[in-house]
Amino acid sequence: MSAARLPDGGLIDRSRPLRFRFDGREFEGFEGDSLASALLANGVRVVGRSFKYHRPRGIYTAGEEEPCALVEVGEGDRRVPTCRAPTVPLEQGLVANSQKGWPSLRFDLGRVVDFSHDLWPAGFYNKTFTWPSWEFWEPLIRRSAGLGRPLGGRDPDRYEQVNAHCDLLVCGGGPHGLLAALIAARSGLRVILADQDWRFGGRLNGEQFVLDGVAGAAWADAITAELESLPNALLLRRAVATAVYDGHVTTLLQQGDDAAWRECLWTVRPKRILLATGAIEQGLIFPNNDRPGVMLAGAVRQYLGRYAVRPADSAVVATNNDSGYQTVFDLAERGIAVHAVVDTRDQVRKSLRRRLRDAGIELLAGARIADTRGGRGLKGVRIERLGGADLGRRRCELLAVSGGWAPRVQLLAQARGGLRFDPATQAFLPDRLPAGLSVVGSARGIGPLADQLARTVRTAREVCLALGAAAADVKPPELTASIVESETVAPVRPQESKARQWIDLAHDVTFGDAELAVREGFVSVEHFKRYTTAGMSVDQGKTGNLNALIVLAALTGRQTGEVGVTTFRPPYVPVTLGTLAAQHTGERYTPRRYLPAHTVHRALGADFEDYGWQRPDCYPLQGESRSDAIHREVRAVRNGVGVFDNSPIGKLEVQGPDAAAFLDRFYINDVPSLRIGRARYGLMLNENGVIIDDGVFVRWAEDRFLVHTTSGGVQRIGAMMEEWLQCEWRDLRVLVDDLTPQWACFTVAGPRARETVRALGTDIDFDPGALPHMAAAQGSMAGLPVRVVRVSFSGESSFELSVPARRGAAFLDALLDAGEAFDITPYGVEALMVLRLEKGFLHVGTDTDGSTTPDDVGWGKVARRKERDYLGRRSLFRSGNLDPDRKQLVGLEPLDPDRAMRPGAHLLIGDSRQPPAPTDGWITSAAYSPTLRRHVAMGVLRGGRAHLGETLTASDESTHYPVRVVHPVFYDPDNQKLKS
Amino acid sequence: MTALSPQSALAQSAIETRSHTTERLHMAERADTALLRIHSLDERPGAAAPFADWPCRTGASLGDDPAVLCLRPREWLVLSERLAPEALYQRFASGVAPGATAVFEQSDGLAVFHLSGPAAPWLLAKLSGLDFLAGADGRPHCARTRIGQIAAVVHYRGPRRRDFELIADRSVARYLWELLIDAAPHATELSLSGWGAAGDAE
Amino acid sequence: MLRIPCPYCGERDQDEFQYGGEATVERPPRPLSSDDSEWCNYLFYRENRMGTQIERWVHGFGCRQWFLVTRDTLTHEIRAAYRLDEPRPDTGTTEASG
Repeated sequence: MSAARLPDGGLIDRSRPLRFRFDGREFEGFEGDSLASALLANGVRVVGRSFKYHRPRGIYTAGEEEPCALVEVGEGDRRVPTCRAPTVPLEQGLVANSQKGWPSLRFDLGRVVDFSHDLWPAGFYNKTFTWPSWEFWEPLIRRSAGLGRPLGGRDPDRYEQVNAHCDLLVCGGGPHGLLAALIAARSGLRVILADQDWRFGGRLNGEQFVLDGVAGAAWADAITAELESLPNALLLRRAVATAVYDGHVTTLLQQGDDAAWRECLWTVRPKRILLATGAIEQGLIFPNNDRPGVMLAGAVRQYLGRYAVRPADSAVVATNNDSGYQTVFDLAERGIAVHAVVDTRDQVRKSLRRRLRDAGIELLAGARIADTRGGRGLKGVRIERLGGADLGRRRCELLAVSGGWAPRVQLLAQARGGLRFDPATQAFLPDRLPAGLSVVGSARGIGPLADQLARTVRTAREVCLALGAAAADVKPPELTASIVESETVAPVRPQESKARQWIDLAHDVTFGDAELAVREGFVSVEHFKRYTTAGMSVDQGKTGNLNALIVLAALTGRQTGEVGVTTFRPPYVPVTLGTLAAQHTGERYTPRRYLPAHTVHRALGADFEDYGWQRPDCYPLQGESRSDAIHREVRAVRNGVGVFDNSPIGKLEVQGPDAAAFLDRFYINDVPSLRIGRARYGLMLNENGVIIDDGVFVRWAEDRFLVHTTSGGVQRIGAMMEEWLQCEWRDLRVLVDDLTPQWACFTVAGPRARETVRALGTDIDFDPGALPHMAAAQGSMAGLPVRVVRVSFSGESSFELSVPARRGAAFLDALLDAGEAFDITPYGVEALMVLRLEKGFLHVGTDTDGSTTPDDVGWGKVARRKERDYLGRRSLFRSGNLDPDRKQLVGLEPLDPDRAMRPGAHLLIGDSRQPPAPTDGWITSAAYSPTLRRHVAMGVLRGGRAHLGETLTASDESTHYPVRVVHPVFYDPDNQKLKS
Repeated sequence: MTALSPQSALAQSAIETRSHTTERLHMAERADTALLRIHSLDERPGAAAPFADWPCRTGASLGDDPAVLCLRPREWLVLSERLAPEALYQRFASGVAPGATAVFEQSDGLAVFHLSGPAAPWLLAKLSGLDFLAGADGRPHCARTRIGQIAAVVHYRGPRRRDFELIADRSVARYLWELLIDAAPHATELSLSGWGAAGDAE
Repeated sequence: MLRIPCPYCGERDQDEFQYGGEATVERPPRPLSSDDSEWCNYLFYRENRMGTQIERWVHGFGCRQWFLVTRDTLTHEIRAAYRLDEPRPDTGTTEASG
């Protein structure tokens, strides 16, 4: 084997050699090479192992359809598994590795599978690994499967996303895509042209076409240059359209150079789409058709013409259509000995026979490859008549095969276009086109390039007119020199043989697997695919699906058109998950909201936690544990004064002549009776009668309310109010706006809260007579406009002070200064949760779930007393909501005062029951109360209020302990402190 | 009484560097922009000046400073860099139809970022599905849209001032800023394509 | 992904919108006197039409306006999008009455 570089030609820059490494060995290629072409030029034949049997595999194609040459590129944590070698541009210092066997390269366990392949038929996994369980076998099987290793740890690569709009998106930058894009761009339309390759031109880059007197590649370069000079054309290289969605939205996956970014996902919203995606050559089915050295005939021409690679010294060409003959001539022209042309057809065009005869190349018509040999690379083939008569052996290192051409219809099918089977070319062709989508070139079906180009010009001009542009007058290029082109393809037929004949190289699916599937009744195309897994590997069967359908048709005595195709689903090529996430990872995974006084909390040493907002959980002092800090903060509020940042609390402004009537339809509580300057606690339900939010609402004026929602509920509740206002109650004159971020809000709570707020300097009368519990006022404090609401979630006398957000940090500083004399203590969410639990205050979402009604939490009387309708009221009277055995909120305390309780522990009524048993409820909130010096909890219990005073069993995983049902208010039950 | 000094939205969320300038992109927080949000129960906040010729079509904007953006029927955002918040409020709060209009001070509620340079439209295109590269005529004057995972208002100042303002809730200013900084290199690379440049010809 | 023509903002990506369900659901005018079956119809029963249905959508990331969409549930084709205060445009198809 002396595969090497041809002395001249090709689109490589011989003045720019590039060093690279494959499987630890140093090689050299050139600028312009792909990894695959560079490996071929260096005589590397085996580049990987197959998925199931771990058979040695070589390079089969020259494009993204590659089923065999799947390699790892890069090193360490930047290693990318399962790259298709033909699509990897060679770079200086590139490191690639074959995806090795397991446990080691020397002893590849998978080879055992190959030697014992009769034991591993289709459906093998479903049938065999049932004992002891699939979970037992799965890791072993996964490790020995040959599709690369996943990365550990965090992916250091960058991934990008971008959106684009255009009039016309052209997918595919071969001759037709280029021509169509040029016409559209010259017509003044905004055009995006995307191609998977790093250079435009498609097959022109490797074939010997001459257009308008210049070589195909040069013609493509000229159009590329013109398009690049136009501001209304955007050219995207190494960008594959992966999916077409509703409304023509198309995603493109673009490969980067890794230095800046690795992959970019384009979401394009074109007015129209033009598919110029070409066709994929299919293989032939014959025994041992998978050896390294078996290559698609069109790929051979690309390696010869584009990369100037001499892939072998000797070759045989097997085909069922005319295009294979061009490979013969291209090989012969470069001095490669073609030992035979094997054509399954009896009749071969006279002109081709004559050219072969002139070149002294043997033609075997009506013949097929009967077998191949060569363990680590093809050494020769055996040929026979279709009837079976032996035609002898030929030595060859390369077997170029052509089994016809499958138009790339995947995107069309995703867009719900129709397909029909064309017996003349043995392919599924576009039939019914969806609105706004056109197809040109070989994607419509193979044919002479000259005819196709003329048609492309017509189609492109029609598209321009449809987009309202005056279509530019562009003539189709004249074909100065052409190549042998196929107009028809003979059917592919598998043969009777004991040897394996692959129909899916990537997933190691053989003709035998297909026979078995049909024998076992999997004759529907979708069942057949799943049972054999044909077409389900990373390549999605691009070079084999058509043959699989033809095989299925033959085995079931149907026409291929009757068998149909499986559903084409996105993506067309594999998309890295990192690309879908792009920059929305880490800090940017979800929006983090920052408090106006964040920097003050940070200086105070707060432990932050994300509650939708970054909020202080607690403020541990030097050397203090979190729980000690929480308990200290609770005691400070109970005995002195604390300050809590309550800025995230929802602040909806509701105004207008009908504001009171409007809010009255949301709350179970009475709204119109609320006096100006007063506040009221309320619950909101959904139409099922379930509590969805709670909070205090304030009446500033007859027609002006401030609605406090939970901090997590403000957007949801604001949107709900908008929906009812806009859709259902259009007669109400009400305005709703969310002013949450406008205000910083601080709760000053505790017996010394009043002294603290007065020390700030204010014109507001904080006297309990002037500002009692649940009253509100506006005025100034520390020179700032301030709103005060006397509400309490801690159970202490407390003041909620709101100031404009930009001065939130400075105001908190002033508050801390003013409170220094009273030993003011900042407290966090954790301490607040303990305080409210001691006081028995409900926390919606913690003590309630998606089934909790007002009655379940002790608000039944209020909900029933209000006679006017409000959202969810009617549902409270549905039988399920009247059941006395509903889960009701109760207080719980352990019989052993030192026993800590945990939310989630199940409750069992009666003191002797043990799990397993149906649950009677569970603990929803629990904490150690530093105030009461014992553990307290709340929970929901079946018929809970009827069990007051009883002892229950709490069951927490494997521990069980007795708890007593009590009233849920543990602290200050008569509200002395609250109202002081 | 003490004078309590204001803090910008980025300063509030502990971001020290509040501008970013390269050859093709300039971004900065505009901490001193005064803002109002105005709602009306009727088509306009008032019948007389300054409301008589207010933009009432969603996405329309009017004026330079103060600029009035129609966010949706009966809701407007007003921006000024010239006027102090109090002055801006006074200018529009007086003269509105009583009982049917609400004027909300938003200088504290919103953060404003200014974007300019050839990479600016690409930066927005990376974060939003709107068409920022259509050329001056095709661009929206203002639009509330999805930027990353939040809603924000994009204000295009028009071909005379080829720049954008990005307005979002103050609490998410840091998220937005970090998205912009992170997306800037790729946006800059994309802007070298020349795509859409014709639409910016003046 | 759908592209939805918001009657206020123009065409935008689907991920700027939230779906509000079938627009033909009517809240009983007097809930307190409606019987269980009427109330449950309102709460739980939907037509789930195959073909064109009238839907309610809100442009949550945009203008926050609710509007109506006639959409083919089989093909996802949006035949019309219109404001709540304007009559349903004639799309040449029969939809659920609403």
